[in-house]
Amino acid sequence: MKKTLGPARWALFAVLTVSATASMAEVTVSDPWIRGTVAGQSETGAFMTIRSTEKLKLMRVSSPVAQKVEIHKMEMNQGVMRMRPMNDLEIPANSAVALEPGSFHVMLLGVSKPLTAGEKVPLTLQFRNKEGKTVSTTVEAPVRPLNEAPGDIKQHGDMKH
Amino acid sequence: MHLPNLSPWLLVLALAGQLGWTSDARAFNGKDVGARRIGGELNVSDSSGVRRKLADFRGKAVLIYFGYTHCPDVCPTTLLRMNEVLGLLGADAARVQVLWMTVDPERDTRALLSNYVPAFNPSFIALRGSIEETHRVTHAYEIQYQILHYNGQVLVDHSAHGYLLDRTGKVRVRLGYDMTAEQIAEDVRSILLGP
Repeated sequence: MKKTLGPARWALFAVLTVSATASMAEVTVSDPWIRGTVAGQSETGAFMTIRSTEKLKLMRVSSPVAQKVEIHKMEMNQGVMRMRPMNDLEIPANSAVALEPGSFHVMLLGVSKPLTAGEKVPLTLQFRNKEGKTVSTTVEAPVRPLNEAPGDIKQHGDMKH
Repeated sequence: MHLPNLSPWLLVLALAGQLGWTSDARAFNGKDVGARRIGGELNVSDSSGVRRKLADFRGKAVLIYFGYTHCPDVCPTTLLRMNEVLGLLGADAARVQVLWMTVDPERDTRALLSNYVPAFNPSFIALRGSIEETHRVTHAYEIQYQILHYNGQVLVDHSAHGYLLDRTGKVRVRLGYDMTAEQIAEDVRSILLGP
């Protein structure tokens, strides 16, 4: 497993190898972030971009700060917003999947302490490929302040060398 | 004989056209719902326990949205956008009140709302009714919501739109979730020109 630091301090890229055989799949989890919480708020969303060289499924996510973590999809149905848990999230080969406000998010449930800006929260993502092999990677997701627009983050995150 | 000079008349026509446009058919970016009977008295507590009525905000344009604090996506996005709207309005922001009412009063305690809503902007006011009051206000404002208990967790579905009220407390514009801060700020400016 190889880790590369992104251009900005908070942008972490976790790169992992799915199998050591001929087909080498590389998964990149970039720009992870978590929306900060205030005292008494036990749930929040985590966001990131996932890219893989091979088709994979994100099966589960875990974090030491949450009792339970789920993959959710946000849908708008005639102006009514709803969140629904998903069993898994497909990551097509060579096509970035953005977990961002307005689409998918990782839902952290049962968060016991407020997550404050600047804190880094480990998120472990477990993927499965079509042969049924599972791999996992852990990223350190920085907590963004509640009052910071996600757009501000994207501008920095898209910078590439 | 000279031809009459038409330019003063053209000027008058142009002015008349402009006046007619601004007074009769003020176009909003959101949906003009001024002719509909949406809204009405709030009469619910804010996060410090003070009863709030529309009269408290008389003289200000009001932006009202509904949500819940455990919302990871739509609600914080809306509150961020409201903060952006106030930023765009500059000095006029003092003539606007942002209200955010929870549809999940069971989990959204007064303490939690007091921490959460002002985190986006200290001028924002959080409203929290009893279950009955929440039903009453959401019904009056045509907000749908549903709280589902699923697999040990609570899922809250709710309408993502909000409203712009004029300075007399009348609902004038329905603000769709897809509207930008610029579009909303423009509608607020139009409302501030009127009653």
